[in-house]
Amino acid sequence: MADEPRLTYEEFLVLAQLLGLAMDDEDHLQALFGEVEPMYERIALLRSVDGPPDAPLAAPEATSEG
Amino acid sequence: MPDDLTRLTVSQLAQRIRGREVSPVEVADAFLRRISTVEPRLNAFITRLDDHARRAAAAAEAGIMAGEYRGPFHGIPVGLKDIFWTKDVRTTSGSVLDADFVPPVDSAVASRFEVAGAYCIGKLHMTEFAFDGTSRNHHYGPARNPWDTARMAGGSSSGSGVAAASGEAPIALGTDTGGSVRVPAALCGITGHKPTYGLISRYGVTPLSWSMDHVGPMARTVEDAALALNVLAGHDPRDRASLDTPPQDYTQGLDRGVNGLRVGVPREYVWDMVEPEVRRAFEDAMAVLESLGAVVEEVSIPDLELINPAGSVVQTSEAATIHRSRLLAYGDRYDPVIRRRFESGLFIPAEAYLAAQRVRARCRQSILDTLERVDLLATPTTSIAAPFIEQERIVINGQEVSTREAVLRITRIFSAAGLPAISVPCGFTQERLPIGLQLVGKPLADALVLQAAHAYQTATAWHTERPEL
Repeated sequence: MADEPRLTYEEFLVLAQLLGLAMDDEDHLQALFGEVEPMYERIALLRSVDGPPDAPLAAPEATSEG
Repeated sequence: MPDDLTRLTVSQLAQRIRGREVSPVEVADAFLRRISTVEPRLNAFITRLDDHARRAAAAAEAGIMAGEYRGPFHGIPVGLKDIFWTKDVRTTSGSVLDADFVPPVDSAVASRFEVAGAYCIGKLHMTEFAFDGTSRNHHYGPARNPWDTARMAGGSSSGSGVAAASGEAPIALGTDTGGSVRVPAALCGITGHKPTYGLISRYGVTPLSWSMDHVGPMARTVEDAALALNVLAGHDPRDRASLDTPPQDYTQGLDRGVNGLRVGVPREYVWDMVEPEVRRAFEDAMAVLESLGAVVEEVSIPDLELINPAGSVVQTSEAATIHRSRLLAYGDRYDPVIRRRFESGLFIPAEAYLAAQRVRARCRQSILDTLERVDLLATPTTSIAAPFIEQERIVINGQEVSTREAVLRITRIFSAAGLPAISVPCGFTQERLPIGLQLVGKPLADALVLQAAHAYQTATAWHTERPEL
């Protein structure tokens, strides 16, 4: 898996506010963070294997989300 | 006797209508009675169109009696997933946000079916905005699997799978962004074909992900899916992804068999999580194809496992882009689970979306390179048979995963790649739940995919099994 810093909940809240999401439902925000975290893991994985269009992919161990 | 009509395929119904052995009105009455009988247990419909169906059937009957027979769909009822716009008929896309949306125009596929003489018998259940592979719907209740009503029908084209499997409609249409035609087809024991990306117009289809959305037929047989493709495929400038390919008769080569065809079974990724009963049914299906003359071999597709995270980032980002303004204004009106899924896409940076598209393109090329060495790929359609409706997690070979991932992880590969892929029934579990076989071809090799699937159906009887309701 790619070695990128993990998104913290505090950073997530700043992003959520910037994106214009409602900030008054803490339960919803915590549940949303639970959705965003694995998305960022997938993004980190993709960044680690991405390269110039003609380069072969060098895949580390990967999992998939359906 | 009239109820027996609901057990017939489109092809069989068409033969009887054309020969004037049965009238379109009798066909409509039979299906409407069937819906009234089984629908309370299944919940396949969001909007029933009984009166419209009767009027359209009467018009079809008058036309046929006047000698104006239009072809195999003349007088045939069709179920449409409630994502397809139907002029003057509400189209909810499975959400209360669109509960009162009455489209001003028909979708391209609704128009094409109408021109062919078919009519819509009802708008079918789906998961909210097609963003789920289960058959749960927070607003309209779950669609229930006709083989066991405590189980999921699969999604997002849940009602399409249920209606075609239960005899509420002889054929239905679905959309497929990560497997939403093939998954409910597999879990409900019918045939579902996701064509090559761009082969069927998406004009008038509520979008989820513009680079991954497909439209596909869901029927009892491959032959019926081919008949539908004859009606539905074709260039449409209103859909920018629509392919400009010459018209083709997809039924013409169905009987060519599989003798000499090379069928590749991917070695990697697919088998990380497959239920033993599904694996056994798949292996039996490969033995059937070999007995018909196909050459089945293991193939390696490097980096296959990367296409799903890439597809997930692309789909979620595009979905969030489409829904952004509604999420910000009416987020609390979405199913909370679906809302979170959409909102997570707002957090994806442009750079990550583009990286995902590049990885996706390179994985697709890897699959295409493999398809230079074999004619078709074969996999199970889903890793598992239908789970219980409320089941969130499942253990497969000692690994715990979400049921959503378990049903979508194999089909999504080929949605992201835009390749033609079909699911046909290939057996049952000990609990009498259907299992699906997926066959995949090169871009625009839809006819070959249908041909191989038809050969399999000609040699087996799984597709003729019906649920007891």
